[in-house]
Amino acid sequence: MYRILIIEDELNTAEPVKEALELYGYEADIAENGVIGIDMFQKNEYDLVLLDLKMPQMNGEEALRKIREMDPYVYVIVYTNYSDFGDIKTMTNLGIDGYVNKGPSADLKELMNMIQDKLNPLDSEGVKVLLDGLPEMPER
Amino acid sequence: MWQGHEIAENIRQYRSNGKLELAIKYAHKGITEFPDSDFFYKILGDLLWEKQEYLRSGEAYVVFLTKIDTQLQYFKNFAKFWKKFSNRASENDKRCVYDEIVEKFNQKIFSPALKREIASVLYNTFPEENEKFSAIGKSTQKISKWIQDRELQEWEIYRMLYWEAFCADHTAATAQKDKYLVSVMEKRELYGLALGLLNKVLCYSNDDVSIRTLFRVCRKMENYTAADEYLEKHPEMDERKGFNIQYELVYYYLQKNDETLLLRTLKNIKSSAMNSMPISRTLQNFYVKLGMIDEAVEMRKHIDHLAEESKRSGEKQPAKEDRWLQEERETDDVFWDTIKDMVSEQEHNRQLIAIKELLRGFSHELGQPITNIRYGVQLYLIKMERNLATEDNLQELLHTVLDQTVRVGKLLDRFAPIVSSKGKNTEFNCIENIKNVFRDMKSRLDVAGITYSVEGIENYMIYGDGIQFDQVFYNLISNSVDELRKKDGARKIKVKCSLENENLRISFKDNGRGIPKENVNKIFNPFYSTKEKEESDGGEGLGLYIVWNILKMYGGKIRVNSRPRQESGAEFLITIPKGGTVGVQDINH
Repeated sequence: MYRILIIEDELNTAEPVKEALELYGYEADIAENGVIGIDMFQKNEYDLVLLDLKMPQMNGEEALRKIREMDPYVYVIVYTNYSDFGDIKTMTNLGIDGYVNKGPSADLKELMNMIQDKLNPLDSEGVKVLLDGLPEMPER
Repeated sequence: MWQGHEIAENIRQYRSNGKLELAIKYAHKGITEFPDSDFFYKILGDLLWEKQEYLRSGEAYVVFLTKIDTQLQYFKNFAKFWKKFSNRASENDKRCVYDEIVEKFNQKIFSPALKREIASVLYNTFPEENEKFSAIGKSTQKISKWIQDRELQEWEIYRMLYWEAFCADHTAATAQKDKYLVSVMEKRELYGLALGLLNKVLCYSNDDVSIRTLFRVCRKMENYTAADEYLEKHPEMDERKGFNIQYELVYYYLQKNDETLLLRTLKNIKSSAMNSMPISRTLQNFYVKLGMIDEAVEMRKHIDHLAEESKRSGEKQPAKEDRWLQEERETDDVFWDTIKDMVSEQEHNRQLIAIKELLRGFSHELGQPITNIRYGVQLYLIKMERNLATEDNLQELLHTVLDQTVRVGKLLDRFAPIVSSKGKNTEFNCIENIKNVFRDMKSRLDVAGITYSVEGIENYMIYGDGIQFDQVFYNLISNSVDELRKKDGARKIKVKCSLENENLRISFKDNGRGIPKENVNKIFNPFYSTKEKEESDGGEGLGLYIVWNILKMYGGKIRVNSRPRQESGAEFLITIPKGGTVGVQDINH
């Protein structure tokens, strides 16, 4: 099973995401800030990281830099706002695999689809697989 | 796609199949079709290297050097090549390629930045030749003559400078010569080299000229690290009275955003400027640059006065000159009026920027509860689709939605004083307003057992929006209360108002744990917060940001005292310029 790390200081955002990911057949952990996130990333093996850019203690850019030092290939999706395009440029140079917006266009399904596209590119209708009781998603 | 892509692909395939001759042929084709591109020369160089034709490979790389121009990032290709080339190639080949580069170097076809890179890689290719530089001697005259004689041999000069910087010995005896070399390096924009040598010079001689050079080179490099280090080792240095040092310190403190020390430096210059025309002019220009127009006008009058005086004492100016004096004065008035207009326009722009910033922060912060509500609802919908939704889920969702609306409400409250204030400016008593804010917050202060004092100039009136002014102190006090609650023993807040250079200066101090040095630059950023989640109030990280923006709107400033005295705690210093208006003035005006 794929394992996903959510680095996000807003538990009200992180928890629905975690729950949805579990419904979609993933395992998910929440790290409340960048420092904890980096620590968890070091200790466990993750296939994808969902990273908030605006966090106290360690900001997203710093966290991304550290993650990339440890693992240049893991998928990283960042949360941004419309006003953060300057950040996106920096992030792209550091290596991100996608970004989603918070605010009025925040869409949980879109986020799930994006994650599925990254992790199971051949099988983006993961919902059906689960509901029809078909075999679990292939192990990596 | 780049047109040369196909050729490059061909080269790649032939190369991986071991067909070097064909690959080289294609590289030549690339060069013919794209004569300005550096790429195919590099490829050709690499292919010839593989064929062990070192000389031709080196020649290709020389052309490559002439093609990269300003794209310095490609220089590392040459640097890598040169490393293996100088190990593998014969002395003869090495000399040939080296001479070719030197010839191009002297023809001045490389950009200054590229020249620096080339020199750093090549200067010690033939170390035995460099020994001759020590024969020039220690006298400045000799060395300056040596340089003058080689005006057309740029490479020799660079080679000598690099050798001096990295290989030669430096002692007190060579200090004079070294100082001269620093000036030569500075002129050729070899700032890194100049700084290195300067640091050695400063070990032996701590004179004003060298210190000034240090600061000037840092300024040109736009990097004051070396100056910071020097100041740390010689804290007494900024007391030096020499105008040249003070001049550089103005730029230094300007860059450090240290208004107190900047104003002190300007004051120091002013005290030495009274009789010098050039210094007075410089000072006038600084005032204009800093938008201190009244001071600039005053300095202008002083300059006129100096001119009159020198005229009276010195030779009589021809009458013709007098005739134009009237005209000069008139255009002068126009000039200063224009400057004043520009400054007020700038002020206006600053207000707009501050408002934009606040809106950005607001929309950003609003995005969070909206996201939470949307995610909550969307999760519930996903569960419903799968027939997994329960009564409990629904209840939980409704609570989340309600909680998040409370959060939006709190956010609105936070911005309310700014948004709802009618932009009505009145005159109010500075210290009275601050005292009132403390009175309003008395219950919170009492619960936390905090005592406070507000002292300083009575009856200082500010023209502006009192509600916004109060907001600054609500935020500062709130922060202090949160911080002080974590500490044992006496909890105090101290506010002091004073006048400094006719500007209002308010010091706000608590005896909490203070702000660690590494956070000093971050605390005014939006969403920066050190508070724990449970004590945050829905606008975390926004308090100081709002304070900063309110003050910015009328040209005021707030900063953290970076050099706190013995006592612990945080000190905020607020400056409000003379005649500054608090709050957003009539924007439509």
